[in-house]
Amino acid sequence: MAREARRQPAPAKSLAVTIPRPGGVSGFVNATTVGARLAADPSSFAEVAERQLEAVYRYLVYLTGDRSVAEDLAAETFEKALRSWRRFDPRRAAPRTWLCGIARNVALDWFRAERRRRRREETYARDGGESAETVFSEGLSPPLERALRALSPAEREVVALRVVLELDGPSAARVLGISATACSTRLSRALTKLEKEMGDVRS
Amino acid sequence: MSAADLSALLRGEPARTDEERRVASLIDALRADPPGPSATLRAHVRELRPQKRHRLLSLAPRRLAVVAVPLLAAAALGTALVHGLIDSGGHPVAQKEFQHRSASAVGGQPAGAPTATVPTFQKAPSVLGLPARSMGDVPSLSSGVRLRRFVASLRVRIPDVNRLSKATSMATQVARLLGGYAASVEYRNPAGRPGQAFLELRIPIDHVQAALTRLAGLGTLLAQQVSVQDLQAQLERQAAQVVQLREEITLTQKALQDPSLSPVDRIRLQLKLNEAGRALAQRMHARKHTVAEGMLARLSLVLTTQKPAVQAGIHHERRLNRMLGSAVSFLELESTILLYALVVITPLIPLAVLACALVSARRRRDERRLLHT
Repeated sequence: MAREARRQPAPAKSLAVTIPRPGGVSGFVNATTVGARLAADPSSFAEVAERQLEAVYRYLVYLTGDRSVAEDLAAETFEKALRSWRRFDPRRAAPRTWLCGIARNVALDWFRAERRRRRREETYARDGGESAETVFSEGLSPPLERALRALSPAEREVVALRVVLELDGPSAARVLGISATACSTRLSRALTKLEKEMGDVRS
Repeated sequence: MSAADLSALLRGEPARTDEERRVASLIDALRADPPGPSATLRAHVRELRPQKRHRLLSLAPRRLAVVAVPLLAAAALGTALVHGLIDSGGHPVAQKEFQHRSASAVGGQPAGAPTATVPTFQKAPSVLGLPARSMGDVPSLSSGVRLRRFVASLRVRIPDVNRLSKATSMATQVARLLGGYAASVEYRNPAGRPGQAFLELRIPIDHVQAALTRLAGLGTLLAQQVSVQDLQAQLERQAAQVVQLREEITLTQKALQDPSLSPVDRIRLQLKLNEAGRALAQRMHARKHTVAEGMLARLSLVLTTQKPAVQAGIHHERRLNRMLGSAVSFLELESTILLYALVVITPLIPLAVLACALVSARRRRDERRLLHT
């Protein structure tokens, strides 16, 4: 009963209001204050970039599975965000959601470029997956690392958005360009697969 | 596990079942010590600064459209008004009217004095150069003089009603003295309204200029229109037809005198002769009418007592009406062009929408291939 009473769907336009977790990212965003400030002050881009850099970088690490690539793509993401900063409307999306959307497009361009390169060279750049040295996070156990590497980029990105970056369902769905229901389903499958991979690795 | 349970776990709520505990520990593990960007990346992002751009260029497309559409509409309206203003200012009749009124306001025009200019006559010297002819004379084809139809109209303002009838009589006298006549005279003097007289005069072509000068001198010339049309070609054509028909009649008559003709041929020739005779009569009548047209000029004279103050107001009102009319015409032209553009573009819109949908579907499929493998 208590769980059901708490199972209230998030508001349609809610932002990433989260409870800070130990070792996690504090992603508290107040739309009203930030929105008003963003609209009035162009130099707030620097503040937003500083605040969201880690989140965007982590998202790209999980999406691409390569830290060096994630660094390059993160820089490109913020450069693109800077060019379209004046068109950003904080009433439509939170800064983190907006930046993750840009990062996703940048990453997709990279994936396409990689695919073209592989077709030209007729070899996989990283032997069918990420290199063995890729470390998603120093705090992750080796079985979890290997399980993450076994996921597809689509599965990793939903995990990154919902679990690591702690975006709510609608915001993550907006970044992915799918419905909130599809996003939940994808996350559930990704976590299930992660568990299974970890179980296989352990065994 | 349901989506709601999963969302609750992600929000940090405590797990209740074994499955939930496993997932919660997985979530905690993923969130433990996440990767961080390098110092190089941090420095690079810190150095990024937004550039100052023009406020209009930095607007979102939707907002730009909200600003641009009224601006374009205002520009179209302004262009139409400017076009109307320019077009209304160069009206030739209005300029003449204004010149005549200003001349009359300064010094007045005494009756009988020649008016400022009759420019159309200066442009038609051949009319002035015609030798004197009487009604019965037919212009010789070899004389080098061309037959012309001359039609003119004048509008003259008379100071008051009392002088209107006198001016009307003088106009008919002018026509008689110059060898012409008044074909019709209509005189109106309604109570409380300006009096007017409408005269249709016929003046020998040689005295047209004198007639126009004298008639314009009856008052203040308000408007004048002259039309000259060449009739010589028509006359020559008619004369040639007459000659041809006469020759045909002569030949037919000669053929009828042949005693060896059969009754049927005789009847046929007789019918042909009769037909040629009728045609000849018609052509000669038409030729006579053409000559008469060329001998006499048709002058339409309007005498009016309308006051000058009303005229000035009418001039400004007419200019405003012309300006508005021209502006409306220009707006109609702009609307027509816009409508044509819409008619051309509208069928392409569904194609464009379909193309966008196909491109979007292809991108999503491509995305699935990239990320789900």
